Amino acid sequence: MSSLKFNVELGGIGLRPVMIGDSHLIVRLRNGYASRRFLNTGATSNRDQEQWLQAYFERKARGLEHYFIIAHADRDVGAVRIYEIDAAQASFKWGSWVIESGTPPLVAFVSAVLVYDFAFDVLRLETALFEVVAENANVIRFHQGFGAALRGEPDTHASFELKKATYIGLRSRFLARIGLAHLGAPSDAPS
Amino acid sequence: MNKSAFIREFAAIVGVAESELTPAFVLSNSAAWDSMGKMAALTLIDTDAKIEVPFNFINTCKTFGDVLTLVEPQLVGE
Repeated sequence: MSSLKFNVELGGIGLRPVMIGDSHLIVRLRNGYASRRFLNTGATSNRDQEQWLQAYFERKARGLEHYFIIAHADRDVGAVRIYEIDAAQASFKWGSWVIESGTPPLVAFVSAVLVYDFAFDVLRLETALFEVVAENANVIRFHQGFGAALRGEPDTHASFELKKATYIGLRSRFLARIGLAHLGAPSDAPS
Repeated sequence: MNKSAFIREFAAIVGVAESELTPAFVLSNSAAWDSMGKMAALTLIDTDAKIEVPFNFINTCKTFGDVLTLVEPQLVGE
């Protein structure tokens, strides 16, 4: 559990900034993820993960990346990353999205909402550009249901784009769908 | 969306052959029945088949039959 402040939070599910002490958690989440074959090869040891995080903190300081732990009901249940932030293009990618087995699907749904809320509302970016391994059909279907548009024909990866305007237009419907429409705009307190 | 198409798409989500996806099929027996699999199923039901179900519905389903109980009456044709 962590009492660290969330960057964004909705209905008891929040994104909090990754800290160096999360190395063990991240290794466990990634290696325990049932669909880890769809993830890029990552650290398998706590030490390797710590080294990766040290480099990440440098990228974060330059405004290029944000790595979050997904928390639900005071438990750390996942991780997700916004990366390759391009201030000139006002675009970003997101991924490294892992959620602990047994976590309610609501957490997956809300964590995606929170990623977009943070990127579009807090960072003031305009376009999400991201890729999913072509075999990861379930995640591809999820993103399409979330309003992301396929760019070109998938080969090894499916490339997606989601514009802020499209997301804003759909967000209230998403929240109504999960009974959170009354919560409105996210809290936005960047670290 | 008709029932055949729904079964075909749902089978792809849980990673089994259509012939295996009987009403008795236990969803948790599929490694793909994780948060993303459940979200994909909800997308199939809600967005593709245009059937409105409570968001937590999919989490209460133990078998494919449980899914069909709510969805089948609203599928159009076989």
